Order: sequence, then C-alpha cells, then structure tokens
Amino acid sequence: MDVDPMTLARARLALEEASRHYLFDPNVRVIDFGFPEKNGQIVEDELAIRFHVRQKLFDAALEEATEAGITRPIPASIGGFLTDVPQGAYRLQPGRGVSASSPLTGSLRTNRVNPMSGGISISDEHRNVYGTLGGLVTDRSTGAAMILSNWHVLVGNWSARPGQRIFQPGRLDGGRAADTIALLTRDAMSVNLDAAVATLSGSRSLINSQLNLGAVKGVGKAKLGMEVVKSGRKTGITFGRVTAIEGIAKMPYDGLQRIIRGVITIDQRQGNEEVSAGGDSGSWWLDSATMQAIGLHFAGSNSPERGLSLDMPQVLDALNVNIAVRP
Amino acid sequence: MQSDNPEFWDRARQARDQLADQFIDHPDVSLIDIGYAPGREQTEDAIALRIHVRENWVQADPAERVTFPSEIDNIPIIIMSGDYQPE
Repeated sequence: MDVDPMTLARARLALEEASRHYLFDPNVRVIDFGFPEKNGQIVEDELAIRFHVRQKLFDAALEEATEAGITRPIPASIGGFLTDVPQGAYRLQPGRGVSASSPLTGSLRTNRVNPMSGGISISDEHRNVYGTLGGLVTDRSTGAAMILSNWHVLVGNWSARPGQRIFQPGRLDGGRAADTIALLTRDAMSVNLDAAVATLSGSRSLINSQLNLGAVKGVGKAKLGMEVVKSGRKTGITFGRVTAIEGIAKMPYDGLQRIIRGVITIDQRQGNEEVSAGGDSGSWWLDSATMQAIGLHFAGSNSPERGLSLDMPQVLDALNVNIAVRP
Repeated sequence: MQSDNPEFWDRARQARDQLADQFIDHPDVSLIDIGYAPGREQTEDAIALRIHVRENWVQADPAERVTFPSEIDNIPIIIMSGDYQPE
C-alpha cells in the first residue's frame, strides 16, 4: 500500500501524541503506524496507530490494572487514526561490542588522540571495556589537572586502588599500557555518587572542550524542563530534557547493590531520539542554553529511552574539584 | 509555581526520603525521584514523586506485588517503568 505524504505527516503527529501520553505506560512496549490485526489476520488495506503491549487486558482485569495505576485503556482512535493493540513483549538482542572503526562513533572518539577532550574513549587498565572521558577538572587543593568520570569507568572494581592506570582509548577500543594518560586518585562512592577523578600523568594534554560541542562554560544546576546536550563515546552528540531531579537510585556495581543519590532523569525531547547507551558513562550533560555542566551521566535504559546523571555541583564538591573553564 | 517554591521542595524531599526508606531496597524498585508526571503536560503544577519499577513488578500478579501509596503530604506518587543499568 502506498501511503500519501499527507497521511504520513498526520500519522507522525498522531505517533508523537501517542508517545507523549502512552510510552511511559509500563504495559506499552512499542507504538507504531501500520496494518491492524483483526481476528488474527493482518488487514493490509487499513492503517492504524498500533500500541504493542506486553499483555492484553480486558474487562475486569483492565479495570483493576487501571485502578491500580499500572496501565490505562488505549483510546479507540488518536489523531484521526483508529488504534490497534497487538501483544508483543520485545527484548534487546545484544550483539558484539562496537569496533573501533564503527561509523556510528567516528575515529576521534575511539582512537588515541592528542590533545584529548571530553567525549572520547577511556577505561581503567584492567577491564576490557570503554567509557567516556567526561572532561577536565582541577583539584581544589593542589590545582592538579584531572579527568572527571564515573567510578564504574575509572575504578570499576572494589579491590582497585589509587594509582590504577587509565588508558585512552579504553581497552576495548585497543588501549594498552603505552596509552596511559592518568592515574586513579579518588572516588565519591562513599557519599553515594558514582564518580571519580584521575590525575593526568602529563603524557598527553587534555583541553576544556567537549568533542563536537566546544568548551564547557562552568557548572550549573539542573532544573525541570531544562534542555541538555552531551558528547559521549557511544552515541556521540545527543540531546535530552530534564524531567526529574533529586533522585535516589539503586544500581549494581561489581556484584553489590549501591544507593546512588543526586540523580537527574533525562528523557527524550521527542520520540525516536536516542539519549544514551552503554559506553556513554562519564559524559557530561550540559545546559544547551549556557553550556554549563549540570550532570555526570552514569546509567540509562533503552525501554523507555532514558538517561540518568548525577548532580554536577554535588559531584564536584564531593571530589573537591572545579571544572576548568580555561582552555 | 511549585518549581520555584522552596516549601514545596522541602516537602517533596522529605516525602522522597520517606519513600526511599520504605522502598528503595525492594528488588523491584530502581529509582525514586521528583519530577514531571509522564503523559501529562509538563508544567510546574504537574510535579510528582515517581517510583520507577523493574520489569518483574510490571509482569507480576497484581495481588502479589508490593503496593505503593498514592500520595504523601498531598504530593501525588506515580509508578513508572524503569529498569536502569550503569552505562
């Protein structure tokens, strides 16, 4: 069936409206535009907005779930289109790690570079992983130049000790001992923040710049509704919107569940946008309007597409560092 | 507006802490925060306490899973899907 441009345009608007109101519903997995299903058959001469649900509920079960606040009924139509409710419990299908030459990331994020900037690949010396070099900070006491990223990027293991080497690029991107750029210095896990700093060794320079974004203009405080942007190793430049603050999360770290505080929740600005993915941890979320750093990215989910970051002022105070605003 | 009201935020933080004391250690709870209620127009008047729950809770028999209050101190509580991992 050929769909005329006007119908497609209307469908996109309907999809946006549907996503805004229903994608948060725990029972809704996918919302799309396509052929409805009737009596077990795909009807190919009709079009509908389709709400794919984990579990189809009817009558009393639907009423009960709605009263409990778990889900709510799907409307019969939206944006001028009839709706359909197919059942579908989709799962992620993990593949191999992204190679250093992935077109999605670009070589500047995954290769050894000098000078370095925020948004590029790093890891500790032991684990075959990569995370993101967040950016340049300075020790408030000594003035030493340091990298700020996450505990689980720079430390990652409860037996790790200060002095652990940090590689750029990260080990999974080919980093080795000759690529050592910093030494682990301290972390903030004892105050419930997944954050750490490593002191630059002097082998290469780190400038105040986020790859493809430019200089960070200081530190700011996240506010509800704030539009933000980040530069990360895995997804590059992505955008988001702060939808919650002052969160308390529980996350697994090297076999232990830990409470993490100061959590900022970042959602898509609109449907179909990617916010973050594995490998972006350590990225700095910046206020799009001021380019001030407001959050340190540390976690996320794909369904729903959402990122979690740490309140940057709290992180800086806990680690006793300042963002270096000069180049 | 709620977002500019220090008294509201004090109450919201206390309510969040109360929820965290009670529920953050539950295996089905991943995050408790203060923010917009999804599905509603995102204005300062639509701020709620949000309990993010894992897949297990969504899939479980309603009669057997943990239940949450609907409000604390007149601040609504909403339940939303959220199963997060360090990235």
